[in-house]
Amino acid sequence: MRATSYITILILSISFASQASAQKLYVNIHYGYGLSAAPNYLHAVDSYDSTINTGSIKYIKGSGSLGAGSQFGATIGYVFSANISAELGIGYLSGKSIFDDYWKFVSNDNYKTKGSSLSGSMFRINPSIKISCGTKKISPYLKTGIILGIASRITSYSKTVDVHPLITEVEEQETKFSGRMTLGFSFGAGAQYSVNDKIGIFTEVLVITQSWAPKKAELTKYTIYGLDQLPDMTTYEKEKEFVSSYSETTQNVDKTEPEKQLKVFFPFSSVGLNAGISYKL
Amino acid sequence: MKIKLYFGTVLLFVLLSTQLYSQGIYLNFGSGYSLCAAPKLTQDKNHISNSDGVYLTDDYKLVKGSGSFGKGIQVNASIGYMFNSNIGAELGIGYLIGSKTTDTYKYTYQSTFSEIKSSMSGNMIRLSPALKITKTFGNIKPYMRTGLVIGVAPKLTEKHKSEMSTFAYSIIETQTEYTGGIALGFSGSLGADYSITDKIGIFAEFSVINQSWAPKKSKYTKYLDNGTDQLPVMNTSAKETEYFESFYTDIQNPDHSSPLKQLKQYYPFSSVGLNFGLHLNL
Repeated sequence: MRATSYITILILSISFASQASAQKLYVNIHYGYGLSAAPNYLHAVDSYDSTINTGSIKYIKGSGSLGAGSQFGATIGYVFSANISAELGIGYLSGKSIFDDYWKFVSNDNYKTKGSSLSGSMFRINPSIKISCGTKKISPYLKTGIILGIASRITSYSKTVDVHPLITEVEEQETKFSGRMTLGFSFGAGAQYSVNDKIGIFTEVLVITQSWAPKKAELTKYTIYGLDQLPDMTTYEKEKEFVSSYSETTQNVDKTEPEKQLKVFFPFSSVGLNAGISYKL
Repeated sequence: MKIKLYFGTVLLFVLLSTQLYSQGIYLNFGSGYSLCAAPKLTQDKNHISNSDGVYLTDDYKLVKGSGSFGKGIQVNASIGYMFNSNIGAELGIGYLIGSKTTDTYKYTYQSTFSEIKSSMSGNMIRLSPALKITKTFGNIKPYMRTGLVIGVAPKLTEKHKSEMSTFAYSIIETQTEYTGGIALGFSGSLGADYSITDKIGIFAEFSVINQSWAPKKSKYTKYLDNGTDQLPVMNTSAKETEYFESFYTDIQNPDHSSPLKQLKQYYPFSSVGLNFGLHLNL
């Protein structure tokens, strides 16, 4: 409903703007880097020393959104009037990895460490409307639109080393989250400089408001002492399905089906700087 | 750094756009309702658990429309100045009255039961400096607006009620308030002004707010055990919590006279909504 209403407003805005003057197509390519915005997901470095019963925990700055990272893409735009244009962009987010560490010390020959990382990626389709002003050479603008995230992925990796006096256990796991489209919104401010009648360069600050609830998760790697544990695991142990509601009984747990859990949302909001080249067709 | 980058871009935008004449000051008064955007929390859920003594059946359900404390009603007022016929700047102030999110857990086994109901709701004052671009088509002026959102005096209120009937009936009611800090975010709007007269008009807009908040502290403001107030007998570390970006704990010598330390937690306040109101040209 929210997306439909937003699209309707966009279309109405374009309709108001249509005039008889020159209408032009243009394309641009761009690259940018985003920092986390509206952070939610917190990662921390955690340590504990049992010999003196003290511990510390430290929040990792910038670990609040999987939308932080680099994004590159291309856009095709259509100028309805001197001030208003509509764009359709496609981009690829390669999210920055977030690292999480845990350390527990019992004695010199008895301690545990765990390092884990989380990273996300997705293709983003971004229809938007842009209103610009200024002179023919320098044209500041505002833009707003919708973000449709497709082929979204999150990869979670962890490695635990558990040292005991007689044995050291090493366990590695990798889980991949996938499935479901995600809807978000974008808005930003920028400026374009016309190098000549055809080519321009632009820079903008773009805010993306987005989160993603994957449909499923699959354990793709699980080793203990380097030995692969996956062949001995059931589907229920290796796979998860995230749903809006479900019923579960201890009587008949079907181990051949994925385990069900309530949907989990991962934050993908960001605020970043993009720069690119524009070409009028 | 993010805020400086955004503000710097907006300022550059204004400097690049200024033309020979100004269009004057205006006021906007309005209100609107927002739904959650970029949902994060899954607190809004119902969990019903039944046992027949042999097997346990659990029903889980996520309540639709949950996901952000930014969902709710917001009332706004703003003052704006048009530098020319297209570019203006606004400073708005608004108050968010957030909707309640709920979480229910029920367990039954023969004649015993337990039920826990929790709810959370948030509110804050929002200051919104923004840049606006508009174009005139007769009486109708479509516009876009983008800027910062600065949430001041944010507050979350969490209520718990747990009832248990095992060997004896017990009911515990608590209320916790989360406060402190500032909630920084960004906003973007797409809308239109309609001029009724030269002075008065109406506006409608879609507005997206990108925001979250990490409180600095929380404390129990209510703790009743079977109707008896427990707050006077609780020590400070049991009643109050402070949130930090990092902290050190001495488990052997805990300090019960100081608030408990925890890592800061972020609560989502992003939203997308519809606003309507009155526009006055001064």
